[in-house]
Amino acid sequence: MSEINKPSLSQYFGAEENINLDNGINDTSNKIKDIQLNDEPNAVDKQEPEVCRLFSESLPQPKDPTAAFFDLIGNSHTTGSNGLISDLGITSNEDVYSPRVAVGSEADRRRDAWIPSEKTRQCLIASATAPPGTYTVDRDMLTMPGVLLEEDLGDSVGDAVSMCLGEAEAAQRRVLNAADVTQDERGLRELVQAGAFRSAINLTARLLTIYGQGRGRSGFQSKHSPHSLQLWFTRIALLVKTKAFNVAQAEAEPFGTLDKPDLYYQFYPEMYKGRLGSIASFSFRLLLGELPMHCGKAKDSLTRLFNILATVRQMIGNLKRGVCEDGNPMEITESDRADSLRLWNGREVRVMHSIVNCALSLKHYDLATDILGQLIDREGAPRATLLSALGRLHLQMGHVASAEQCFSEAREAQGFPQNAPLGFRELVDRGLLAVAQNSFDDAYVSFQQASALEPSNIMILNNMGVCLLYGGHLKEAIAVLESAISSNPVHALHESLLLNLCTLYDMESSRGRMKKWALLRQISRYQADAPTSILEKLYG
Amino acid sequence: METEEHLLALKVMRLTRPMLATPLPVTCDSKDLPGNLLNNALQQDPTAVHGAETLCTGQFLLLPQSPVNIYLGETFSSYICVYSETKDVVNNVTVKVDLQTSSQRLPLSMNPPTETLSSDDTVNVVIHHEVKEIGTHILVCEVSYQTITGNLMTFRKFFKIQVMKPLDVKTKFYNAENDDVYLEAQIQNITNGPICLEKVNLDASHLFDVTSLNVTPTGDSVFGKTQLMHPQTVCQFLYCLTPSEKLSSDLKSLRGATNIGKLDIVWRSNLGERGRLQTCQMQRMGPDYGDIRMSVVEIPNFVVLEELFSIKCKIINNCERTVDLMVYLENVEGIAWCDISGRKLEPLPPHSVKILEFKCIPILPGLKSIAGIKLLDTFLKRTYPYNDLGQVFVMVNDRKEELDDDSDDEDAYPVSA
Repeated sequence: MSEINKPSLSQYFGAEENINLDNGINDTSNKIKDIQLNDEPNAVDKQEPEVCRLFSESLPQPKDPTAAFFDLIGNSHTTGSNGLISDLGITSNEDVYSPRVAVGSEADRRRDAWIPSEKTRQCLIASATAPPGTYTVDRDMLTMPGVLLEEDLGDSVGDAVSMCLGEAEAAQRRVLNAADVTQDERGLRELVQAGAFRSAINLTARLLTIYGQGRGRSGFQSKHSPHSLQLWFTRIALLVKTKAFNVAQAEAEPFGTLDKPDLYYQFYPEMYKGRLGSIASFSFRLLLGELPMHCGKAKDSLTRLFNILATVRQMIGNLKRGVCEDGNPMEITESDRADSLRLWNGREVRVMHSIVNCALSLKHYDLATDILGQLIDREGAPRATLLSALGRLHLQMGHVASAEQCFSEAREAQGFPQNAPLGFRELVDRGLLAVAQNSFDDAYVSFQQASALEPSNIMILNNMGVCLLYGGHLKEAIAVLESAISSNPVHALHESLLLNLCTLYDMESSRGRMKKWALLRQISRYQADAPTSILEKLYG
Repeated sequence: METEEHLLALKVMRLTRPMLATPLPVTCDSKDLPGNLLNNALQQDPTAVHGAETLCTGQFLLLPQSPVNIYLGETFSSYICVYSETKDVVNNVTVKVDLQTSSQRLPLSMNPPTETLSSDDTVNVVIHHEVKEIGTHILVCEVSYQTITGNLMTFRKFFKIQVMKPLDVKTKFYNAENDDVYLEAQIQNITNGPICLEKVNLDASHLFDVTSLNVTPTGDSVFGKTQLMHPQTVCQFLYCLTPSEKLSSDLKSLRGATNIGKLDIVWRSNLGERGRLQTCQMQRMGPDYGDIRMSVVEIPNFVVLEELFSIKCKIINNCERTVDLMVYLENVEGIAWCDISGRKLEPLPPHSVKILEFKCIPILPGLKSIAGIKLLDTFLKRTYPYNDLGQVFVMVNDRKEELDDDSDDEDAYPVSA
């Protein structure tokens, strides 16, 4: 099954099929965790050692099969993607696990490893060495999040439809919402899969209530678990995806940089029994690092991301020195060490990507070029892809000659003979180069050739449309963009393409409004959600 | 602006370079709660680049969504679309586009008339114009047409454009003793975004040969790989201009050679948006050479203590009469002349040149200035003292023979025992 759909980016874009398969198992494990947390609403003081011990013993049981299950999936991936260099240069950590019983804890340890700040480390040591129940932490060392959005998010597309097209039209709209799915993680995934991000955000608020972190709970003490932090990660990720950046920032604020002691397993020795590392996942850490940049504070992001990068590099250094990620001299096998190195090297690359993006948003092109250059020089890096990306970066800053050079190096890196016909990537890059040289007609020809290779590619159709406009062919431009939508409405009803099309409609006639409403009707039919900016454009 | 109803309407859109749209990369590990759903969503985003989804170097062209400044030297491009607002056919549609600047009115486009325009048709005009003036420009679009009843109708629309200054160029000149002119040009980016300098050239007047001092001996730019300038930053360029052979022998025209040339600057910004500026003719202050000018032609860098050496000087008569000159050599500290003081030179005709050789012996070690030479114009009784013609480094050396040959070689350093 997974051999047919082999993942192109093994770690970040693994095959989708395992989601459905793992739901059941994950859910059971989560339910168990839910119960455990419900039983201890004010557990921060850890007054109930017996209960805790009981749970800490039972906890590894549901976790292990899950891990082993992932490992099996991971193994079958390996057969599919063996020999392929993953496109981002991120090699999958899951690929090489052998389904041993103990592997779960090692995989968890590896994934959760993190080096706390000195202050947090001291606090964790103090809490671990104090007799149970005697250690209290300052309030400002605790993480006390709560849902801040006062009300559930509504169906913005539905509202726009009823406003522009009438209630009758709005009544026909069928979308999944939070009430239609099971009130758990599986339901949440169903909503995300359907693209109903706003409803999914609503569901996270309900689920967080179970942890005492729902509406109005910000500033109150509560206990953290992998599951509660995963809910928060999902919620904030979706808030970012729906561009509700200010809400995301406000709700993420209590988490800071995920360095408070209560976000480490060590803080709950009775419950996690010697388990070390960060309860929050690395993805959450990265998301919080990137968050300020979406709110116009890209410099803060830069600081956070470089801090993350420094820690990751320190951990890689530790692994190379023969100790564990966090500097702990614990013994790990050579194959585990190799897996750890692969995982953390992959994460290092991902952080560097985020730094490039942050530098781009600051128009700090020197930094972006520098980091991209470092990525290109890494061993096993997908040079062709990255050189092409560097070429586009040069185009963006206006350095046309360098861009051209990058594109030709990218072509060489692919190792094709000189006279081989241009591939899709090269045709697109050549088109963009022509755009930079103000030859939109040449650009159109390149894009058209690329389109012959991938006729359903929405980006190519869009670029052809844009070139047609610059060449003075407004009607044809509109026709191309409309054809992209009609051939693949689910994906082509995309914010950027819609912005382009609306701009063209505005130019073409005074009947632009009717055409925009027709787009709105399509969105209502095919999309669960749409960005507010585009909706405003449609009914404006 | 217009009071009457028209059957046609007109829209204008400025065509600045498109942007490259990218998705907002939100990813997670397969073991995070959303599994691969977020990654899949990112991968399927049409603005994502396959294989580089998490990098925001996009490829999806997005039309400009917000007004962009226009700067002097850039090309102003616009799309003008005339469409019909009636179901009837309209005849003989002409669209005339002019640009009114503070000083002139430039015709940008004059389409041949469109004979018939049906209700779904449009007349499309794309104009390009390199802006050469700062300040307010008005784009004037005039549409004329004939209604079905034969009435000739005209309407005009005006669009205001503010052209701003992109660069601030400051120049300084230095006239060197050997007649070379050094030009220092400071170019400051005063746009609100980063720009890339694609070309900075000094188109010198034909009187000078230019050497650009902005590249390293290996031919790389001294500014590094990309000449990227963030807003408000300054790049300093240095050029050496050597007067042409003909010019340097004629002091009067050398002094009059105040035209240095023009700086030609090409820059690019967002996605290759190009701008080009040429400064006006740059002027230097001509050096004042006086009637008589003496300069060093040949002088050794290193000389050996108590050993004879010679320097060669060039005397130019820069006035319109023949001059009679006396040469006086005065003793100065460290140098003993080995020549005749108070000798009379042959009459020097107007604009002629004479090479003189002086011999002397250094009597103190160290860096010494050649001073003490005086010329006397016997007709005007005017003296011209020369107290800093050049410098020599006087070495103490006990292996004189070896050094004699390369005494003017910069690499020959004193070897002390």
